[in-house]
Amino acid sequence: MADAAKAAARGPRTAARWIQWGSLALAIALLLVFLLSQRQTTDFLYGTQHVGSVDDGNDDASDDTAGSADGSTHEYTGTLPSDAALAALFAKSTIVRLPGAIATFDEPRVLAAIGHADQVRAQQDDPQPKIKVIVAPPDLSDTDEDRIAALPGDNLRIVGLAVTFAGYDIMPSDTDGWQQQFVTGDVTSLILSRLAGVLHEPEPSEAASAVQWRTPTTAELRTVVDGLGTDRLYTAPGADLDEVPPVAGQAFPTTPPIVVALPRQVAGEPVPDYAAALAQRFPDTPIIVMYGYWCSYAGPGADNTEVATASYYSRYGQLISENAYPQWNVLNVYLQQWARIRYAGLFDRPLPYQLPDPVGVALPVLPWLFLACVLVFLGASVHSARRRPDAAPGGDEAPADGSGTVPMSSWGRLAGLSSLAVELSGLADDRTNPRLARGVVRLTAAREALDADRSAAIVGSQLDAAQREFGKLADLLDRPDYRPEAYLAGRSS
Amino acid sequence: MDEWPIWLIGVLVLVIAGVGSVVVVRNRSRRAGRDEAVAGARAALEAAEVSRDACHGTVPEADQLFDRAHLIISGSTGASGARQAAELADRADRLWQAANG
Repeated sequence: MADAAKAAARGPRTAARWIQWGSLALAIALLLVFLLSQRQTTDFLYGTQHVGSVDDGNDDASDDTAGSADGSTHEYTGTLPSDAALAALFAKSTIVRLPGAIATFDEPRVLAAIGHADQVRAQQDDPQPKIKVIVAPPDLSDTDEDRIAALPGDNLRIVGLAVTFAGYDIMPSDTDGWQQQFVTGDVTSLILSRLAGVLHEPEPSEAASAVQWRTPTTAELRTVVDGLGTDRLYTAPGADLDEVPPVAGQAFPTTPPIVVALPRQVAGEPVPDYAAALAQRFPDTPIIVMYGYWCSYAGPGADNTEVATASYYSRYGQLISENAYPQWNVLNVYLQQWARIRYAGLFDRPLPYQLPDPVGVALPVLPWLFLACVLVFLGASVHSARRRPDAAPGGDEAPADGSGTVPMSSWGRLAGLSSLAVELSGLADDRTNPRLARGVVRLTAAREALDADRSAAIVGSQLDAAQREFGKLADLLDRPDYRPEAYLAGRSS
Repeated sequence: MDEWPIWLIGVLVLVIAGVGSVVVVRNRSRRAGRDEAVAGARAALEAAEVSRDACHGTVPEADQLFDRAHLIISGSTGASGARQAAELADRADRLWQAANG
């Protein structure tokens, strides 16, 4: 009965305590989560992908010219003849074609344009030397490029497929232009547009030198299809792609692409369009056909092709036109461009599902949760502080009275001693009256202390003092049965 | 990061709550201890008064002790002063009791 009452009294109190300290712990935990999550940056990535450059396929794109600028990281394959041989070749004709040069152009048209330009410039106030065209191999070191630039006169320099004239690098600006430059190595339209630009004349139409496409013959197509291995790669003779870069898995996550690598095509001849033919043969399969450094795409998501091509060749076109890279490097970065577009979330294209970061999701609510916990803790603390820390010293816990008697509640002792005082008052005389009075004073003090919820110690000390007085009083009266110990024991039994 | 004032307020409230709870508990126990000591001292004074009234002669030393205790307790004293007053009253009480035989 008493135990049950005690448990009932303790139940809500421990629950309140749990709420109090639980909310504090939760608030601290939330604070810690908040502080630790402050390492998060404002850098948003829509997926993991590796950004690389053509040089090694690994460097960050920001240093994508490092390979051509720094001899230590790049093995230059282009070579020039000695100074004497170079000077002899230079003196011989208008078009100086150095060994290893790969660029082609329509020589009669270029010669005609140069003749026209020379004529116009000769009529100007400040006559300038005749224009010469120097066609150099790609992948020249800086020193070799300087040697070409140092040749006398105002020369149109072609290093690899990169055209430079009158201080400008000339780049194609659309898909047709890049196709001419990279599929066949034909730079005619670049030269002609630059010459027209120097003379402030309208640029000639590029249609004349655009790449002509044709459907591949059945035999050509069968060669390619039969040549596809388990890695879905066909490398034609003259091409140097030996494996598909692993980034293809990111660029085309669902279906591994079919890759056909061909060497640079001959200018002026129709080029077989393998991409379209293979797309008919293998529907729903990404198909990449490389003509030299040109990558054409057909298959699912082909509407991204223009974005991929334009962004790739406008960014890396200059680099791959003047240097000699393995086709693997070119394809690697092209595929990275596809992966970028796939994960960029551009143009409402669906993104791959990514599990939301729970901390990121919870972060906006976190401060409010924290504040709520703090307020709950505060409320519980105030609530528990309002109630008396030790509510009833004599109420439910009996203090040991220190005299070896049966432990009794303070109220019980007070009641017992009070009735003893009443009985003793009948026997008291002048000699014993002060003791009785002092005992009653002590009893009154104990009573007040109990009423005021004072601590058990002060109540006990007052009761002890009263008990001593009454004990001595009983001794004086020689009445052992009125000794408080005996009297209280008799009452409680 | 617009929520940082919330964190700041929360932490401040926590700190204030912690300090406040410590101060409140300490103050309350100090006041309770003082009240108890004063009550005990008053009881001791009353008991000593009974002894003095019962005493036939006068005990100057006991009177002096009693007056000192009375002086202490009638002022606004702390717990230690009240305990001292109670001890003085007890001593006076014993002296009077002894004088009374």
